[in-house]
Amino acid sequence: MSDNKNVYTLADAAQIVYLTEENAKFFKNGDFLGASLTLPDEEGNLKTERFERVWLHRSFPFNMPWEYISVQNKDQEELGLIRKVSELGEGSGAFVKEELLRKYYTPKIIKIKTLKETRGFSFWQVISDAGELSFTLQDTSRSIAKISEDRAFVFDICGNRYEIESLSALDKKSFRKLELYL
Amino acid sequence: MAETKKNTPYVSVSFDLGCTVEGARTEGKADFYPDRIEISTVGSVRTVETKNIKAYKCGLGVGCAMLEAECHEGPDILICRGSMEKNDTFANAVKVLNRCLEAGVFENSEDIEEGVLCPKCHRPFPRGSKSCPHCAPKGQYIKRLWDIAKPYRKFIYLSVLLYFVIAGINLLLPYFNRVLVDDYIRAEGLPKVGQYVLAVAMILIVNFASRLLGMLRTYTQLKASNKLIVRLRAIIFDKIQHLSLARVSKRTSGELMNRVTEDTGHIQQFITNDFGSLIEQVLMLLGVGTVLFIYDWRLALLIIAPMPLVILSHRLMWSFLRARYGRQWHMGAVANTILHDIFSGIRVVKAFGTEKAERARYDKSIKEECEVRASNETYFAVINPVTSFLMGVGEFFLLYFVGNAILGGEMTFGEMQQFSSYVSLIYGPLRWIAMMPRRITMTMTSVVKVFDVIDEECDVEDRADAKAIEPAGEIEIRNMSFGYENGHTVLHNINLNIKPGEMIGIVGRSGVGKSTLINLIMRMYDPDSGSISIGGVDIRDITQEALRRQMGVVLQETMLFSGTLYDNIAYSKPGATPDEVITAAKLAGVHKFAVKLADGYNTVIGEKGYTLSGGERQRVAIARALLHNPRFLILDEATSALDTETEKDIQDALQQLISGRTTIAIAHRLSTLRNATRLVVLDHGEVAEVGTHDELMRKKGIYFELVMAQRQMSKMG
Repeated sequence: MSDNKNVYTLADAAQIVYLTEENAKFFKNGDFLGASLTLPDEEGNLKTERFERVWLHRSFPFNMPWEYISVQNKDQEELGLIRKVSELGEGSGAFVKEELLRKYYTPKIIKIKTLKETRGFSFWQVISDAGELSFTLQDTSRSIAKISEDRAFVFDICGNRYEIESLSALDKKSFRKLELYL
Repeated sequence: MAETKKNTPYVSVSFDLGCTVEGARTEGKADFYPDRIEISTVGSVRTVETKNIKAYKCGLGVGCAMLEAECHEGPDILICRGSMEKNDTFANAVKVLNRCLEAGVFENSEDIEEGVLCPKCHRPFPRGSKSCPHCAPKGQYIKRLWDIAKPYRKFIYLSVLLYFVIAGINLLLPYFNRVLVDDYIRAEGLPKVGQYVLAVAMILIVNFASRLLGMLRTYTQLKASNKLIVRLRAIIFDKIQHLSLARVSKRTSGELMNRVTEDTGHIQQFITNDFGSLIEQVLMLLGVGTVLFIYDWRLALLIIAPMPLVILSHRLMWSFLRARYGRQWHMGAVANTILHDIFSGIRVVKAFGTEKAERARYDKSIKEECEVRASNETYFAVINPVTSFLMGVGEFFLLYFVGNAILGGEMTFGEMQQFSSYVSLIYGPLRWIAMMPRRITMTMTSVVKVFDVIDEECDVEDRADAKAIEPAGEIEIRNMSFGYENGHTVLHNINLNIKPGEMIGIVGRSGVGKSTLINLIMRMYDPDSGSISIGGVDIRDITQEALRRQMGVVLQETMLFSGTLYDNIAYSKPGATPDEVITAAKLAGVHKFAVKLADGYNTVIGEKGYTLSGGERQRVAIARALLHNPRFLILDEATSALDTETEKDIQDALQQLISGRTTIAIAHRLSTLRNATRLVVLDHGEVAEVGTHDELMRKKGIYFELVMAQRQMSKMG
C-alpha cells in the first residue's frame, strides 16, 4: 500500500512481489535453477517455500536484459519479479545470470562477411562471438529490429536471433552491407 | 532385456549447442538406450540413468531449443540444447521418446525426423516450405510457370512470331528512307514522280503494317497473360483454402493478399510488358547488328566498341541505386503503416489526446523517407548524365567517321541517314537490356513467393480413401494428445464420449485448450496421437467437406461478409429459399430487427454497409447455423461479448438451435452452460472433471471453485 492510507496505487492493485537478496535465494539444482522464496500467502502472511525448479523470463529482453526478470513456476505463474539481477547478491545473481544466458541464446555479430539478397531472401555469413555462422532471412528489412540508434537484432527463418551490439562499431564494409536494411 | 538391445540406442538425437552458457556451437549426439542416455560431445560423454525419468519435454528457450527430462523424483534433467534449426528435431524426438516410455517398449529404433535442411547447401528450408530459397534453380520455377501456361501457349507462340515479323518490318524502314533520300530527294535530275510516290507509299505501308501487327501482338499477349494470371490466382486461392488453420495462421492476411494480388500482378506485368519487350529488343539488337556488319564491319565495330562499357556502367549504376531505392521504398512503407495505424485508431488517439505525439511520429518517419529520397535523387542526378554520356560515345565516333566518308565521297547522305537510324536503333535495346536483370530479379522474387504458397505442405489432408459419408452418432475421443509445435502438448491423453443429442459444456481457465479441443473435433488440426471418431468412423476417414457439412459453428466474433443481410444468413446454405431464410431468422431473433430496416433483408451490411450491434451480429450467426441445420453444433464463446440482457435473449435463440442436436459449448460465463447435459472441466491440458452441474458442485473440485469465483464476482458487480 502507498504512504497515503486512503489511496491504493496501481502497484498495490497489481500485488507484484519484487525479489531481492532479502526474500529470494537462487541455487543450482541439478541442471536447472531452483529457488527458496519468501512470499506472501493468500492472507498476506510471509512464508518461505522451496521451488525445485523456477523458470526465468525477461520482461524487456532487448533493452533491459538484466532487469525485470519474471520468476515463474512450472505452470508459468509468476512467483515474483526481479527488478535488478544485481539486487540478488553475488551468489544468486550469478546463477540467475547463467540461467538467463543459457535460455536466451543470442550470438553477437562482429563482422558481416557476405550478405546476398535474392528472390526475397537474404543469405548471411557472419563472424560472431559463437564463431562463423550462416543463416537466412526472409523479408530482410522486417527481420531486423533496430532497438536503438546503435543496436539491432536480427531474426532468421528458423527463429534464431543475433545481436549487433553496436552498429557504429561494425567495420565499414559490414555496415555498408547492412545499412540498406536498417 | 537382451544385451543387444541394451547396447543399441532406440533413439538418437543430434544437437549443436552445449548445455552450459558458452555460446560457441558444438556438435554432439544423445543416444537413448532403454536404461540410460549417453550424451556425447567432442571429448566428453555424460551418462544419465533413465529409471527415474517420468517424461520428456521441450524446454522453453529463446533463440535455442532444449530437450529435457522430467523425473519422478529430483530435479529435471537438461539432456541437450541446440540452435533453432534443431527445434523440430527435438519436438519429434520428444514425441517418439514419450510414446516409447508410455508403452514401455524400447525395441524399435526409430528415425527422428530432422528439421529439414537443404541437402545441397545445408541451409534450413523456410518453415512449411519444401524448397531451398538459396539453391532452387530459377529455371525450375519458369518451367512450372510454363506448365501452368499450357492451355494458353498458342497465344504466347503467336505473339513471339509477331515480334519477329514486326522486328523484320522495322528494319526495312531505314532502308526505304535511304532510297527516298538518295534516289529521289538528292537524285541528279528530276525523279520519276510515280516511283517517288511508291517509295513514300512503301514507308507508309510498312509503318501501318507494323502498327497493325503491334496491336494484334498486344492483344495476344494480354490474352495469354490475363488467362495465366487468372489461373495462377485460382491455384493460390485454392491452396490457401485447403491449408490447415495452423498453416494459414502463420501468415498474416496482408501477406496472403499480397501473394494473390501483388505478386501475381508483378508476373502479369512481366509477361505483358517486359517479356515481349525482351524479345523485341534482342531481335532488334541482333537484326540491326547484322545489317550494320554487312554494310560496313569496321564502322559496326566502332559503334559496338563502347557497348561493354555502356552495359557495365548501366548495371553498376542500377545495382548502386537499386539498394538505395529499396531503402526508400521501405521507408515509405513504414510511413504508410504509421499513417494507417493512426487513421484506423483515430478514436484511441483522440481519447488519449496523443495527436501531437502521433504527428511527431509521422513527421519523423516522413522526414527520414524524405532524406533518403533526396539523397537518392542527388545520386541519380550525378550518375545519370555520366552514364548517358557514355552510352552516346559511339554516336560521336560515328559522326566523325561518317562525316569523313561523306566529305571523301565514300558515302551518300541517304546512307548516312540509314546508318544513323540503325545506330539509334541499336542503343535503345542496349539500354533496355542493361536494365533487364533487375526486372527479371523482381519478377523471380514474386514467382518464388507465389510458389512458396503453392508448395506449402497441407498438414490436414483428406486421405486417398476418405469417404464423403455424413457423420452421425456418438463422438468418441480416445487417448488423444495434441500440441501446436515445439513438442509442447496442449491437450494430453483426452478420453471423452459425447452421445447424440447431448449438450456438453467445456469449462476451464484461459489457454487450457478448450478451443483447441473443438478445433480438433472439427478437424482443423489432426491429433498427434489417439483418435476422434464419430459413429465409430475415424474423422480422418471422412472427407473434410462431408464432416463440416454436419457441423454448425457460432463463434464469439461473427464474421459478416460484405453483402445483404439475406446473403449473410444464406451463406451457410447456398440456394436456400426465402421461406427457409426467414424461418431461421425468426428463430434466431433476426427477423424482428430485419423488418424494421428500410431495406429489410436487402440491407447491405458488412464493412461498407449498415452497422449491426454485437447482439444483432450474433443473431445473424445463429440464423446462419440454424439454416445450415447441422447434426453437431459448436458454440465457442457465442455470447461472451454481449451484455447480460442481450445474452439472455440470445440464449433463448440458442435453445432453438440446440434442441435435438449434439452440442459442444465453451463459455467463460458458467451460467450460460446451465442447460448442459454434462460439463467437461479441462485443467493442465487434461480432462480433470466430468459430470452435471450438481455432481460437480457436490464434488467441490475445480468447477466448484470456478463457480464460486464467478458468484463472488457477480456479487461484487
